[in-house]
Amino acid sequence: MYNILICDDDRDIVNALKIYLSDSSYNIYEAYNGAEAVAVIGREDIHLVLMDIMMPEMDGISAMVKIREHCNVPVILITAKSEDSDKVLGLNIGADDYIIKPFQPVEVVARVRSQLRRYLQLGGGKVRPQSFTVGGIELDDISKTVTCDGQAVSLTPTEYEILKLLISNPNRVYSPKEIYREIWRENPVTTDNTIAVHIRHIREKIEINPAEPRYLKAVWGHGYMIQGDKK
Amino acid sequence: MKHWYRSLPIKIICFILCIVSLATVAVTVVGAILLANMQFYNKPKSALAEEYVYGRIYQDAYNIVFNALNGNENVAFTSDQTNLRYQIFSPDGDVIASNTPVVLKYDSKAWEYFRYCEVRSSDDGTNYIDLWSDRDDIDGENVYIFCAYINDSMAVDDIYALISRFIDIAYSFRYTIFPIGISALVLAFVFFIWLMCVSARRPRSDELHPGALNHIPFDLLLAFIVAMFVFAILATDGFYYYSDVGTAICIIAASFIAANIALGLCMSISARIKQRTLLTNTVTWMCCKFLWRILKWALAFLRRLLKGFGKVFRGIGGLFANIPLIWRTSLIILVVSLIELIVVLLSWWEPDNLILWWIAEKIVLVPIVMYSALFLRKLQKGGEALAKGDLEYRIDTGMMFWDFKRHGENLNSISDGMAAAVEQRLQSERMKAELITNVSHDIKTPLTSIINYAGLIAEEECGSEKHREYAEVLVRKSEHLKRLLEDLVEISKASSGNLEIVLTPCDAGVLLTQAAGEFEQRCQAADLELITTQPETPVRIMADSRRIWRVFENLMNNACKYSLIGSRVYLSLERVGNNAVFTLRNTSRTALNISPDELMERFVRGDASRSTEGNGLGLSIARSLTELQGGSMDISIDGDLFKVILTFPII
Repeated sequence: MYNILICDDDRDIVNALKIYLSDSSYNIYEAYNGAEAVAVIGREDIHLVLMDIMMPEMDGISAMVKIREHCNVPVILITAKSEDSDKVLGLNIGADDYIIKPFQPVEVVARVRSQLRRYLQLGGGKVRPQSFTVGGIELDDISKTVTCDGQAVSLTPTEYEILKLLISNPNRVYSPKEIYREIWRENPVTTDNTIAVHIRHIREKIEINPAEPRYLKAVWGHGYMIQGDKK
Repeated sequence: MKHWYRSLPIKIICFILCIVSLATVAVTVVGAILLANMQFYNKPKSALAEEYVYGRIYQDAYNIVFNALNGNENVAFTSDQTNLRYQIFSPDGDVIASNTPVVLKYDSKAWEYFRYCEVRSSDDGTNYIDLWSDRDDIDGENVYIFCAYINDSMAVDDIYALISRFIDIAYSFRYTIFPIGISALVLAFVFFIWLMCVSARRPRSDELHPGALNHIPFDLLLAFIVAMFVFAILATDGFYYYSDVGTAICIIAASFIAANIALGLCMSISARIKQRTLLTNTVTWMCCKFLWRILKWALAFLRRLLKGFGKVFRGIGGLFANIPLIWRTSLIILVVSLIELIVVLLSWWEPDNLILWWIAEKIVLVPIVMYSALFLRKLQKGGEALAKGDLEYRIDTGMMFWDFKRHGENLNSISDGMAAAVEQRLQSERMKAELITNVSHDIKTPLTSIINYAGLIAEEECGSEKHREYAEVLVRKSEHLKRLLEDLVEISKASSGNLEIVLTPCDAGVLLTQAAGEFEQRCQAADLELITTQPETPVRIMADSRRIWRVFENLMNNACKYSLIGSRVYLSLERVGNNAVFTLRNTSRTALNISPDELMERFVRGDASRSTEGNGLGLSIARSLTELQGGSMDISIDGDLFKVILTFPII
């Protein structure tokens, strides 16, 4: 049983999230502003926080700053603010994920699960040779397996090769041509969109929301990359 | 044969007939006048015969009597040579000369012609005579008598027979010549008209075929003819007086030639009129035209000359204008001063005094002018800055005075006013975008609850099938609302320029491939075939990676949503000049009875697609984002073919 704190000034949203998450058998704590959230975290052993930004008394950003002072519990910001600057600010002061309202409940549940796994793996996670880890993705080149948040993902050999290429060089942008050359060892046909299709398939398998990928990102007009962990 | 009447023989015949008719007219007219003069119309025939025969007898009588009295033989008047029969009686009543054996009584009644002869003897012995019809007209007793008659049988063909025949014929024709003359006139007219019609015409052709004559300038031809006539008249001058017959022949011949030439000329005129060259094909016209051309050329030359001068002056002016204001002013002062100096030095005044004055004047004037120029330069700089849009620029008016100060302050106020207006405008744009963003935040929170609870209802197991159905509608519509909100925020930002754009070099071909890959599945789901083409060599453009993807996403979404099921979607990249051109073509599912402009307008959608998903902002956002990245987006609708063209400059 994991303890999850949901913090939003809108009680209906808190209730809805509670309903969705209780299905997954989590223990839910509620808070309706930042101050309450900080108090709950000080009192209870919380494994994950879902927090709104715009709240009375103490907003989500201030609350998170306070939390981060003594605790590295995963925090997912859930907010109506969709600007890039808001996202960057939230992630920079220590949020682990960022969900924009209105959200898909399923996506929230998936992200909560993903964050919890990573949080728990963080302690017992050991780096094995011939394996690459980025976020919740782990690629083991010996067993030729890929796990996403601890769950095995079945990829085709080509998809596996592409993912391996990208994950072995995080943050490096590979153009479709380069990927083609690396995988097939031959020059590509210009108008071929094979790589793009494979990338989409991989994304569908490893991303919670393929439309807004966390790991396998497209740099439009350049190519693709795996976004590495922030140092 | 078509137009047989235009053939050359017919023309010649016509010409001859016309001339003949004209001659006939002339003859009848002249004849009528002569006959009238000879009193044919008011005297009976006998009286005419008497008159003209007696007239002739008088001439012969004189000769006969003269010969008889001077002892000459009358050889020309023997009875076998003339029809005149005569006898001359002496004052004593003896017959002294006769050509007739019949001796008639000395009686005036017995003879047709009876004259008294008065004889006057001259010093050399020659007798001169006068003939009188009355005895009382003669003084003295020495009176001879001449008696004569005309032999009616007219046995001899002499002048009397001729006269009598002429009178017979002329008398019988005296009225007949009028109808002949009139019909000849009519004929001449008809032939004339005919000739006029057929001039310059040929059989078997409707075009004009002017003869060689018609190429000669008309006035030249006319002048030549006139000159010829004048020459002829001058040459024949005096010939007139030698002989009546000669004159007559001359006149007739001249008339004939004149008639021919006149008729030919008339034909030529008619041909020229048909050709419309009567006036143009003349030396006069050509001369006028030539003169006009020379005049025009001269005018043009003059104009060019003036223009050239103007250019030279402008060039000098332009050169001058490029010198900085202060230097320009200095130059003017220098020149003016030099001229003054020269004038003063050359003047008959005392030079020493004048030079002092000149120096004094310059000492006062030069600083003032230089000072003014300095201010002008400052004002000019301020104006230029303002024109370039630098609203922050301030003209330093501290050292200025009078008009310069006022002008500088005015310029400063203009820039203040403009800066305020621009600021206000920007602020209102920003506020609008902020308002939309904030309102959308406020809407999003309740919308989150709606989506969540609608989802919960849909998943509730105790509810009926209908409940689930209704809940699904709620979910779908609230999702739509969510997208609408996002688009609204985006368009307000994009159109107010509140969007941060980071342009980096992109490979347009890669972009095309990525778009094709991303949308492959959606196209397959909509039963569409996506066909992409791109050049072999990479095409690089400057674009914001995320924004350009948004453009493609919107356009491809549209194509997937609105394309005819089972049709093809073409996405192509071309290099056109210095531009990379993306073209997206698809066939619309519904009739696009809407103009591209209307389609581009925010919130306007194809009517028929209103029931399907999408909100019509997609195209508008795509266009705004494209323009923010320095590209352009055009839409064209050709029947059901929907075409979007994105153009980006190649780097």
